[in-house]
Amino acid sequence: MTILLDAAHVDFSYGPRRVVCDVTLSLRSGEIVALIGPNGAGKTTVLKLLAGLLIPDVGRIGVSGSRPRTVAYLAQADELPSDWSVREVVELGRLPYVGLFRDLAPHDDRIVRDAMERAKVALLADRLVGTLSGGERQRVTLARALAQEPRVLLLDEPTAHLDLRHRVDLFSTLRAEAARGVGVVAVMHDLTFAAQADACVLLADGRLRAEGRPGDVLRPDLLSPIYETDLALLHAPDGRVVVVPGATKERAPWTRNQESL
Amino acid sequence: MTSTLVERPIPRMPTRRRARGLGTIVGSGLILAAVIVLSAANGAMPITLRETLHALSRGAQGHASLLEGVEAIAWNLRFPRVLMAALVGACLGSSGAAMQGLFRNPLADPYLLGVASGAALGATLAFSLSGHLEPAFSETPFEKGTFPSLVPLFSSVGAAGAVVTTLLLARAGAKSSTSSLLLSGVVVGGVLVSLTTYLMLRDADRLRAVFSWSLGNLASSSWSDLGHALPYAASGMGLLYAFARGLDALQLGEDTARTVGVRVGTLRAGVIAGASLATAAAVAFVGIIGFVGLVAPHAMRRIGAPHHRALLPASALGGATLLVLADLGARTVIRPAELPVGVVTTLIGGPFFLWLLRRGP
Amino acid sequence: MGPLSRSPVVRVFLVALVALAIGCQRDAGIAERTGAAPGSTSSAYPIEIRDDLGRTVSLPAEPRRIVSLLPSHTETLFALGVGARVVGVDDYSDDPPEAARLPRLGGLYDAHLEEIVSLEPDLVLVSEQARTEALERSGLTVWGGSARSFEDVFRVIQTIGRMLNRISEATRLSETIRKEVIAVEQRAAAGERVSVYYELDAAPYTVGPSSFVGVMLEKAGGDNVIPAGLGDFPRVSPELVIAGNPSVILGVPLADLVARPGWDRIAAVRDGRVYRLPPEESRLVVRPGPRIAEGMRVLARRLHPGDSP
Repeated sequence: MTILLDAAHVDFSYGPRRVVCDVTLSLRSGEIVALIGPNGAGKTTVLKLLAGLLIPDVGRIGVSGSRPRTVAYLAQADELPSDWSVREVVELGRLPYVGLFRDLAPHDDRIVRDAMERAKVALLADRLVGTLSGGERQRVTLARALAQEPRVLLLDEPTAHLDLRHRVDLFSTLRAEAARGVGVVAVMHDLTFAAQADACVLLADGRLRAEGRPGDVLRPDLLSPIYETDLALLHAPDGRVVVVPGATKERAPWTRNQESL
Repeated sequence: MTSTLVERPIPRMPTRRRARGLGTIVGSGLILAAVIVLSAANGAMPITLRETLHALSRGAQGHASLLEGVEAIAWNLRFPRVLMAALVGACLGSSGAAMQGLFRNPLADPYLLGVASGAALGATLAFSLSGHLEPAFSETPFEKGTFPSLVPLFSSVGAAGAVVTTLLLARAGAKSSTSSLLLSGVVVGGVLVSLTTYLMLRDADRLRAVFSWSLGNLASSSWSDLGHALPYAASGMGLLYAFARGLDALQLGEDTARTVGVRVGTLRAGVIAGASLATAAAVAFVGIIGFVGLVAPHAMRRIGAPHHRALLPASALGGATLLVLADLGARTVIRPAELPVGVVTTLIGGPFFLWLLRRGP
Repeated sequence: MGPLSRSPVVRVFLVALVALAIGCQRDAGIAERTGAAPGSTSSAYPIEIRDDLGRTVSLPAEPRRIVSLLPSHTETLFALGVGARVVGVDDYSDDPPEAARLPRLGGLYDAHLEEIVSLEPDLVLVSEQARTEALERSGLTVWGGSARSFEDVFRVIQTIGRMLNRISEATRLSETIRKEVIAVEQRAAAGERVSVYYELDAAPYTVGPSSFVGVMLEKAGGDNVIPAGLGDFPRVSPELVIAGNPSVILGVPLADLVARPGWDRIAAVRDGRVYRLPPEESRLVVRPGPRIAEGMRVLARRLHPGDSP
């Protein structure tokens, strides 16, 4: 499996404040990596470093390929002009291929259409962005990212505005992309979804605290001190893990019925 | 569910929006041409449409010296003036659209970075110097009236100087580039305005001259002025057009634009350079005319596509039309006396802008 | 009294005496309002005079130290013979030469308040556009006004004369000016009228026929191409000037006009009869003071260069 993106011993400071300290990670093709940790841990900063939006003070970030055609970035706060149509926004994803002057070719139109379908916004193609809900706009942003034909997707809190159904949809979309060889790094607050990733990277105070498979990282003894709250992990029969904050195995009212989940 | 989506054919909508953009441009162009002829045919002195068109065709063929009477007025005064209004309006409209795109702020206008204040200071200096230098030069060939024509040169330099000062000041700031620029623009503009006011009051004789210049004056536009302004205006607007798609991408946010391959620093520099060039060309010959750069992009956005590849040319055409009409009003409302055109654009522009806002997106 | 009181001569004499007494009472009343006995040549202080701002100015005694902040007032003061009492003038008062040597106290909008106060004037003459409150708050006596029309010049001269106890000089000055003005008018009437355009500013701003300069032009034999009804200092369309085709243009250098589109066809430009008046001449034309007749002669010379001045 090829390494699409890697960071080696990266440091970054905003002025005098050191925000990222000696972080090393790599992303392989077909992998979904969840970047987790409490607020202020530096997750967004790491993502921006991976996206090439920030230059590390120390260390190195490597990408296999030219950045705009390889790495697509979805910011945490969405800024979409309300008088544009969905299609027009997604078309901007073709900029790395079309440049500043060329018109879009039929080939580009096809890719735009395809991206909208995969992000499930195809039916909204000619709606004005200003008329969409928060979740729909999130998916439009994803469609734009997919239109870049990226090998790497970097998402900052992609599930923030999505309802349950659309969170599930998003994850299945990401899985589908991974199946095509795309690597995904997503900052996640929702640990239950993080549990479905291929790997978790736990950050706290700018440092790497743990990385590995979700089962190895999502442990109450590791997470509780970092998140500063009690939490319990419950395992559903099909193997999925549910992370329950504010509870311990002992205090959970359904502990006795655990097996029936 | 997903499979049905793939099979259903998606109607090809891009043409409709793109066609709308193109349609807006063509339509605006036609309207502008009509408005130019209409405006040239009206003014202080009664000239019929036929005489106007006759003057136009004769003049265009190079037989301007054969024109007499009102036709000579039409060719020598009206057409250059109306065309200058169109050029200045185009500069202001496209600069305004570019600034609104760059700062992602609907209240941005071409004068945001201190261009107007710098130009006003330059013009005031030119007016002050012209009074003092003339006696000294009265014995030399320079007495041949070069001093009022110092104004375009001085005001261009002033405008450019103001922008450069704003940029340097912004770089020193710690905030994000866009807010830095806005703040610096306000500071530089304020300082220059006080300097200008001080100079104006010191030389009360010049007060009226500077004041009337600063309200906008198209009355002395000649064919040669037009020739001088055109290259700068065209380069400025051309530069803006080159960055049109970059401006589009910028609407998604600076970070997103960068990851899509836009060099935001270059974009910012290019757009500021282009807008300053076009605006300085406008201000240098004609003074400071407000509202056109603010209102034209908003109006065109509502009519046509918001993409800058359509919006920039459309705003140029819209701004041109707006200013030609405002100049027509300035020349005819109290004829044969004239209102300063800057007063007319503000009086019309204000309520028009309000109406645009109330109509909603 | 007896039989004398019934004599008709005595009755007439008594009536006349009473009438005279009443008349003197009335005259004394006038003297209180204007500070002068009618037909007298001296002012009786204290005086109360209204200025052009509607304020009442009180002068307890004849002013000995005067500050003038308007060039036409400065000229008037010197023409009335009280130039020696002027202790300070504005930056633009340069006529006569003695005035130019006095302390400069600022312009129209930025008078040097402290310097003025330190000169301890008992009268300050300003134009009605000046801000008098600051001066008054400093305890100075301020008279605000100026001549805004041709006829007004004489009123201002008389008023200043009254304030300074120089009424007969003021009357003489007014008469002299009037005689000179009539002389210029008569000479102009003898020749042909000349169409003229007077420019104040390149916008273009010009003078209307009823403005001060407009009246001067008319009396000097000029026909203003600007019609009445546009105001005193209108900003006009250049087309109006071109269509008016003046024979003489004043206030701009020729080279400037040649550069303007369409102006080269105007008779004045073709004939080269375009004059920018040098400062020593233009000040005579624009100042509404004692030298207006000289200003009219300046204009007349430009309009009819062949005539003797």
